[in-house]
Amino acid sequence: MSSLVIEKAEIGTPRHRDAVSSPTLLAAENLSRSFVYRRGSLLRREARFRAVDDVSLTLREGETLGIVGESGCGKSTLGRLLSGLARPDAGSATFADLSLSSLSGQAWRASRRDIQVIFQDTAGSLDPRLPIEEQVREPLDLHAIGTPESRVQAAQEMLDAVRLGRHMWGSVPGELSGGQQQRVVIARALILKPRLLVCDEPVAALDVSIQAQIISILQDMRSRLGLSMIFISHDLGIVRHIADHVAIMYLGQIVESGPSETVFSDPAHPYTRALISAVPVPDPKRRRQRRLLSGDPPSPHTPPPGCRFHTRCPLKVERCTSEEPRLTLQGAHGVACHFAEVAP
Amino acid sequence: MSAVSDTAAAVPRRTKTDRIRRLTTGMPVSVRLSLVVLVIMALVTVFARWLIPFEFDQMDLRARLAPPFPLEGFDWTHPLGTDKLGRDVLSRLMIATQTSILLALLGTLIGAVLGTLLGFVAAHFRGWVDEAISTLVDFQAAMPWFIIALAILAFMGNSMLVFLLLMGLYGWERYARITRGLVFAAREQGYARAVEALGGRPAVIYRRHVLPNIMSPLIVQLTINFPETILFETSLSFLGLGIRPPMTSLGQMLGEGRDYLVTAWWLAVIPGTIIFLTTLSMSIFGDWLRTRFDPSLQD
Repeated sequence: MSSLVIEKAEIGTPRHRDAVSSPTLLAAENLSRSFVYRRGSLLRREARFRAVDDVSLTLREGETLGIVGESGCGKSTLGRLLSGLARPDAGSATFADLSLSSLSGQAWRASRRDIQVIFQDTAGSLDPRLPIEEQVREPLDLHAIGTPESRVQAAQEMLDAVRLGRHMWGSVPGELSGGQQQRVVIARALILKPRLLVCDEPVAALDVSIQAQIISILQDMRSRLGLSMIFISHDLGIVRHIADHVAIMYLGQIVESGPSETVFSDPAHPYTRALISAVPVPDPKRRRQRRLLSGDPPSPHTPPPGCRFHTRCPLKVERCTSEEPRLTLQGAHGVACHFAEVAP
Repeated sequence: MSAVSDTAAAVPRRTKTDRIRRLTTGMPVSVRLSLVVLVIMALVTVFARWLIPFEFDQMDLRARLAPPFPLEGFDWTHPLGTDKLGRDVLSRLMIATQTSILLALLGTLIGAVLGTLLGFVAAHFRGWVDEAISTLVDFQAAMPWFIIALAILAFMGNSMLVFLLLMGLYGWERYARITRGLVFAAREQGYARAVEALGGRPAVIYRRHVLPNIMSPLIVQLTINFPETILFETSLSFLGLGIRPPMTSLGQMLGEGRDYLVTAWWLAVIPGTIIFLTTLSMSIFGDWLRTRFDPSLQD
């Protein structure tokens, strides 16, 4: 059971804006979501696995929260739960004063004005037949915001803001590069001036040079619109760069969380340490102690008893195989490990 | 992933003439010829009223069964000859073409709209709605529709509306099948989900995004269905159950001409040739469209 509230940043100040005193925008409490991987019948029970298991977190207005983990750890599902695109089996996500899991129909669609999502599959999330200018304008059409002329103007301003040249406005997505497509997606998501932007691996499919460009556009738009962001990625470098707070996920649970600076400079969970030591450092003289993990993460269908990480943990002792560590807070820094205090 | 920057060469906008040129390049001769035939048929259908030299039912008993060009004894007043009542075959042929093509067009459209709509409904609601529609589709596909149409027309009598509805119901199940499958697939596509996440209603997503993206296979199905509907109409009219005198259609002309096969064979052969040419051209054109739209069939 991991239960975590990211408290106001005590260690390390938020780099992007003063988020210390800003109000809570999104609060998730004990979110769980499981999926059926084998249908039940008369003879056998239905089999499910928990993609997200009892996750709690808080996002303050203007903050950026990074969610990091290996593929398959449930971070995309968590993103969908936090943005209201999926409904939790248990727990709740509250955005401003809105309970996301209880919204239906019209109210849910109206909530999309405030919460927008950017998916990893950029090419797929654009209509292959419509010119990009129309696609960027579409959210305004859907929500009937402004006059037709003002919508066109807003779309053009947005395309300018993501640095897409005028000559491309009439193109269809297939005529653009991956980075340009991603900028169209960003423009389309931000034209509604949402309060929360959930980015699910927004740059994973892009070249490194294009990644930097997209990240800089996101940062630019964040300060321009006063956005709060949830940034899901497996790339520690990018998360460290963009996020005020991070949450490290392993097999559906948060194992460590806290202000980015603290977590990255002083990681307490052995899994976080292993992740950070695996990031390449562009300096041949600086030799690091590498802590490579062996093996794959265990199947989420049958998570190991006790601490979920014990099958790969270098610090494992008897206790880890039977007793599940709780996420304990030291200030804003939370760690779910029995060795959190004594670890070297 | 190419690293194209903003300063890269402008991506040219697509223009109408560009598209037409791209569509016609590499078009085989057979397809060009079918297009010519289809264009002539379309022109005749639209302008028949002004093209006919005589009223199609104007009789001239002194000039009965006149032979067409170039047979001996033909007369330029009736280039394609006259029938048993001395009516001008050319005029009748034009009006018959108009009737047949209009009926087939309407019938095909009714079937296409009905089938596509039911396909969308099945894919949207899923569950028992989907099962009910899928069962209907299987029913329709298993029924000998021509025989049923014969029976219904024999019972209900000569009603244009019933005839049209029967033609409309002919083949709707294929559109429903295609649409259902394509909508299922498109709903899983990123763009449909993305528009949903933007706050779009399902109706908007279907109309604005899904329908335009699944249009190509539906149009191909239309071109396959159209000649079949023409044959359906002409067969029923040939048997005397569709279009009946004094109105005329290609099938009705063919049926009338059958009695004179020995003495005036052209009365049957001329409308027969037109039916053959129209359906063949449509089939060739439809086949070409299909290979054009389906990337897996392209070399």
